[in-house]
Amino acid sequence: MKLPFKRIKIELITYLFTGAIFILIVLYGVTYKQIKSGLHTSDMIMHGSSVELELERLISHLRYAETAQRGFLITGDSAFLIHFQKSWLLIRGSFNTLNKLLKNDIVQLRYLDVLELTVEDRYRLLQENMKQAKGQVIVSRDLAQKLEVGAKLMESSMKTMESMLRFQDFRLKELQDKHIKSIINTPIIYLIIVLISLFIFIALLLRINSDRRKLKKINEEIILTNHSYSQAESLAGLSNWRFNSQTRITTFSDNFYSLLGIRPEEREITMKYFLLRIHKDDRMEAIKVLRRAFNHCESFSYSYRLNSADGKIKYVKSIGKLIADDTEQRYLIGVNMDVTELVINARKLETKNKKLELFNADLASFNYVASHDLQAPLRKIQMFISRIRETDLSTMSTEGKEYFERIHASAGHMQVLINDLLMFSRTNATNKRFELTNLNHILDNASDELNDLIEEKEAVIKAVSLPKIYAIPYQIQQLFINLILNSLKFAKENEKPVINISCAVIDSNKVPVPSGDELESDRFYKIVFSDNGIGFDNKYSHRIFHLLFRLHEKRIYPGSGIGLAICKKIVENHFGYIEANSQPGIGTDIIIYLPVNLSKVRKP
Amino acid sequence: MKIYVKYDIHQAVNVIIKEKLTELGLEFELGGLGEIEIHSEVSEEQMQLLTQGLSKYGIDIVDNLKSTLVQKTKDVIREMIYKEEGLPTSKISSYIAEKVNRSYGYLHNLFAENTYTSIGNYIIMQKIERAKQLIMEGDLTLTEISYKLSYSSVAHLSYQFKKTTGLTPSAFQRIIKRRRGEIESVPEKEITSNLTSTTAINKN
Amino acid sequence: MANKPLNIVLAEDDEDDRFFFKEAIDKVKVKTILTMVNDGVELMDYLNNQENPRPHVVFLDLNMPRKGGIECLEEIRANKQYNDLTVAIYSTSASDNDIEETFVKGANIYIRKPNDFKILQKVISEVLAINWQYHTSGLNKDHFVLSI
Repeated sequence: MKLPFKRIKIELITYLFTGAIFILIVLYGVTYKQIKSGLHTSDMIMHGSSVELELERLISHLRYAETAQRGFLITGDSAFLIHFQKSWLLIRGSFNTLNKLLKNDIVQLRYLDVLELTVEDRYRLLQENMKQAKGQVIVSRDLAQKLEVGAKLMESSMKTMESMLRFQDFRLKELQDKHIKSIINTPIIYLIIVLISLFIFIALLLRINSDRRKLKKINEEIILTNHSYSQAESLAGLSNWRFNSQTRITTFSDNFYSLLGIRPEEREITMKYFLLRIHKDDRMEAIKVLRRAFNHCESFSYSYRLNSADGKIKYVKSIGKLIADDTEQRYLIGVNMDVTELVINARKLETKNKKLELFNADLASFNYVASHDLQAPLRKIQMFISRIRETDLSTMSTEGKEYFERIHASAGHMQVLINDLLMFSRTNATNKRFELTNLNHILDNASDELNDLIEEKEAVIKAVSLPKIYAIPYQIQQLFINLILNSLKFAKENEKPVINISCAVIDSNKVPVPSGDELESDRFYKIVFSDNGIGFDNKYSHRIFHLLFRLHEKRIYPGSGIGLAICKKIVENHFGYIEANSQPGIGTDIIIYLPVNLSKVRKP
Repeated sequence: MKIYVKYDIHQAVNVIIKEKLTELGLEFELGGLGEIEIHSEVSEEQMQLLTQGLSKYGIDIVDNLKSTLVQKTKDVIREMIYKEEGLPTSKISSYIAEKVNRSYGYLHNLFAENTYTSIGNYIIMQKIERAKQLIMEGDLTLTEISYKLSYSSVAHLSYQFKKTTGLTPSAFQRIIKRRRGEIESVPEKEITSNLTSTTAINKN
Repeated sequence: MANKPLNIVLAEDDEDDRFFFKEAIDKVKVKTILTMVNDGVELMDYLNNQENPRPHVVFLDLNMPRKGGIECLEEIRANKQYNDLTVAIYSTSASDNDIEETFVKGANIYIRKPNDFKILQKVISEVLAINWQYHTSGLNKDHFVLSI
């Protein structure tokens, strides 16, 4: 089985973190870009300055060339020629440098080209001027022309250079503007980003906090639950252990120590130690059971004895199962219950029960023997009485006859009493089998048995169709016989006895059950034996079922007072109830309640 | 192993009588109804041997007509009850008187004199006997059996059965079946079972 | 035959009961020769003794010392020599089930010892009469059961 907790949903926090990281990256990107553009701008400025510088240098080189030319023209010193050539190199150098510097700027390059041309023209002119001057023929007008042209060229170069400088300026300004613009944006962006980040971080913090709080609460709950569980364990005599299949380590709960009769400080419990403490007779089986449970991923249940370290033998019942989580780790989890007390109590109860059963058997035997063995001498007394009545009664004195009749009567009563006691003891017999019994047949049999008396009294028995129930046939028959016999016995003198037997199905809540009794069935048959006899005062309606309780004189209405007690016993044997209702001079109703359905335990 | 037999008394008796007479070398003629005409002379010794031989089988030589009539009456009654078609619809007394060819009153007295019971009782006994047989055969229901033996109802049959044997038909059936081992006895732990020995000891 | 006296054997340990039985059977119309024994051992000895005439009916009390009625019944039914004897259990009241058990074990008759002498007389007469019928009328001995 998988571990019983779900994957923690990291959703929001993950998203937040991812968002935060993303923002950081964005931040880095933006900053990088800013820095880069800043660098670029300063580069450009540097670059612009270099171009300016180089242009200035170019101008100065040109002036130098001019100056050299002038000098040569004026003095004719060849040193000035050398200066002039030197200046050309420098000019060329400058142009190279400018080419390099402006190589990416198309506009500037164009300017540069123009400048180059112009400068080359100028330079050529200068050269020509100087060549002309070498012949020392200085045609003044020619010279003046050339000088003018030269000046114009110079001017145009200067203009071009100016444009270039201006353009460079322009470029610089452009960059500056751009730079400023971006710089102006940057704080805002930063602010926004910081705010967002702040927001995210605050959200994260809140979330983490709330999660932490929740976790703390859960943890507290767990700790509390664990404590209560630990308490429950000790109370119930439970303890548990957990065996990790990978680490092969077993964790034992606290109560386990008390189960084994050792203190936690004394030693560490290992699975080995635990298994060794199992009673040697039960050990093999216990190991087998555990192994099987572990290998076949099935739950187990086993009872065994432990030899606890404090010298006691404890009875333990263990149950458990194998649990596997997602990561294929397997745990064998077991719960042990110390059932020693239960076992001991059960044994005590069993012993008591056996004693009770024996006692009961003795009592029943006694009951039966007493009734049974009393029969013999009583019978003989009656036999001798009957012999004397036959042969010698006529020769007895009147007194003797009367005494004798009384002896005869008493013997008769005793016979009835013993018969009924015997019957009562028979209804007490245990292990009676319940069979499906047709009460109509029972009624027929009962009527047959009492046939003579019924005919003598000219009695009428009317009955509805009676149901079939699970019952002990001979006992139910005795019940019917006793009830009908009573009705016949206590019939009114001048009236023919009429006995009505009715039957209805009623709900168990209508049954007069003594409190504390568990009902066998949800429905009961209510069978009423109703007669038109002499009846009795209803205040005795409970006591008439008591053993040996009689309402009348023996002479008039003979009887042992056991008959109805027998009826009550029989009804109780069938998990039913009996009650009586009577009106003196009108008649008596005896009501029996018998369960419709016997619980499955009782059925054969 | 157990086997069950049905038998014809008359045939058996006749065979025995024939055998015995033949053994003694006597010439005879069976006249039916327990009558034997012996043609040859019978010595006293032979008579004694014959008497002894026959009495072993419960066959007694009677020397009066009365016993024969009684026997005939019994036979008639038996035959009447064991007939497949059931009992005659006419009055039984007239039927018997007719078959035996004597007045019923005479037969009644004769019967009582010679047996320990009356014709009426004998009839009942035979009917119940037949009922027992039919019950054990198991082909007919109690209703059918009552009808066949001309009882007015099952109740009437059961009543007479119980009065005659002291047991109900079902109890009877159960007992015989259990005797034959056809059904298992159900052990019921009653208090009585362990007491017979106790009382025996006590009585001493 | 109605004239021949019937051989009756009574196995009964109680003196008074023996007395009653003898008195009653003497008064019965049927001619009888009564032999009385005190317990089961004596009974089996009597039956096993070939010199003794075969009883027509054995009346057997259940509660006897040394050997009780049930044991005797079982022995009688097991012995081919006399397993077709008519056995009448003559005993005190028992439940229907116990009575049924004796029938199953092979008793033919179960007599509940009455407490009136006249009734005892009547019962004995009836038993003898019925038994005689069973032996002379070709009735099925296997079906011979009577509960009084």
